[in-house]
Amino acid sequence: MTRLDEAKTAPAPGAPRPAAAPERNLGPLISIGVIAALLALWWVVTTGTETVKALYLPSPESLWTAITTLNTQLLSDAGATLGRVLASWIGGSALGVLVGLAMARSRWLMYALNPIIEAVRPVPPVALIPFVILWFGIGDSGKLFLGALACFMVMVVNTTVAVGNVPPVYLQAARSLGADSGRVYRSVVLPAIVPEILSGFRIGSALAFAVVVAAEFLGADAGIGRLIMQASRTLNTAVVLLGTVCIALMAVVLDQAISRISAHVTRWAAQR
Amino acid sequence: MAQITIDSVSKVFATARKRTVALNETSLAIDHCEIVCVVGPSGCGKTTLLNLIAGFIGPTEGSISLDGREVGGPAADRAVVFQADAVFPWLTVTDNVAFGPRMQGMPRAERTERVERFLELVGLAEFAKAYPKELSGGMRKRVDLARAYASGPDVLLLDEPFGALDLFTKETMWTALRKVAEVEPKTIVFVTHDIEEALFLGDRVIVMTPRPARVHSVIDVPFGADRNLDLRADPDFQRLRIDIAHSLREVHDDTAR
Repeated sequence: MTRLDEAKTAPAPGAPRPAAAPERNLGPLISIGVIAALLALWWVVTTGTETVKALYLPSPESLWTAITTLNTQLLSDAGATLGRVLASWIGGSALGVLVGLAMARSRWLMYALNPIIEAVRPVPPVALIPFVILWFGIGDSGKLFLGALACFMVMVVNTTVAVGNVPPVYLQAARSLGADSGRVYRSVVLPAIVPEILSGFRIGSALAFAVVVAAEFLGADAGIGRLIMQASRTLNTAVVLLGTVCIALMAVVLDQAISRISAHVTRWAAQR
Repeated sequence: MAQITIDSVSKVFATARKRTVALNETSLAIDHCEIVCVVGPSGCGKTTLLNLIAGFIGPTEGSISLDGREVGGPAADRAVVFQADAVFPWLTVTDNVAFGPRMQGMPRAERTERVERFLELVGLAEFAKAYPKELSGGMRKRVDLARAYASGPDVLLLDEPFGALDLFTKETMWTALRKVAEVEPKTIVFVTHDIEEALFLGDRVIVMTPRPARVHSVIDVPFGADRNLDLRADPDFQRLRIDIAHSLREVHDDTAR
């Protein structure tokens, strides 16, 4: 058969995308500009004009001083928090996906577990902190439990919904191409839900930070949450701000990493 | 090789409130390597008929058999091309077409050869490594067609496959389908509401009526195997088109009363 006209107009695979419009290139510049402007404003209202008292908003210089004084302690606190976040996020999410898949597959399991999950889900994990401290003490295990619980809840719901969203026509097509039900599951359902699972991972990672730091506030031997709490008791707001910035940076880096990986893994998905 | 026998089949969809007869005592025999087009207005049960042959649903009464074996569920001997986009977006064009053979455990070398052959046949050889999102709607439909063919079915079931395409793309798809069917003859059941499409593609056209959904008339299409798009200007073609349009209108008036 001759190539059809239609084929000629469609973009060839791997062909470079048409050059972005000039306004598009402006986007990142605007973002950088706004950040720079805010940083400048921060300096102006603190060091520059001293409009805002150092207690309310520490100056950039005092932040730097805090970094140099804390030095390795900052690193070890950040490391403790990040470690807890990663462990609880990975563990909780993995378990959540597995249980979600099982629930989507078995009606009985759905009936058995769904009420519990729906009842626990609206409870903010931080509301459980008092119990968690009673059960686990102030060590790592309680914080891991809370972070994992938060991620688990997100992923269970996310996974069951994602399985339900797989277009029935994919399943029918697979059946009529000779796939048995196990094969349909492995070759159609699992790959089809990957984009939704990955976006659940992203939500979970942010939640894990929130929950772990909150748990550290109420008692921990190390961690950014503990650092912030201790500094706030002595009104050392430079360290408080430093801790906050530190969390933000870690969260952004993790989020970016997940989003890069998922963009690669789901490069087949239509741009959203 | 693949004769479809539909023996007084009825399908009733019952909910607590309502009982809908989607197909009423329909009998039909479709011959080996015949292309049968089923036309009818929406709600006449043509998709139900196709889903019954595919085995996605079971009949309420009667039976459907393929070469004497009763249809018990979907299987690789009956491939389906749907109106909706059913090409798997996470697989490349090649992997989509290879899906059926892979599920059926065909060895890799044989699989590759087969995939290449059908991609060539539908004119997509150079898009083998592309993901579906990089293709136009018409090209995705051709992937779907190649995928159905590559799984080696006896019967090909097409449910308004080109319904969402524009006229020009549709015409190229008609030509493509006729060409593929010529090279690899299959028993084909093609459901559509487009009379020209049915006449252009079919060896026989089945006209169906809604409420109660059943076969109204069967038309033998006399144009032979060698057809080109200009056939539509042929007076015989137009006469048949008008006949079918009339009977569909009649049917519609009947139910409107």
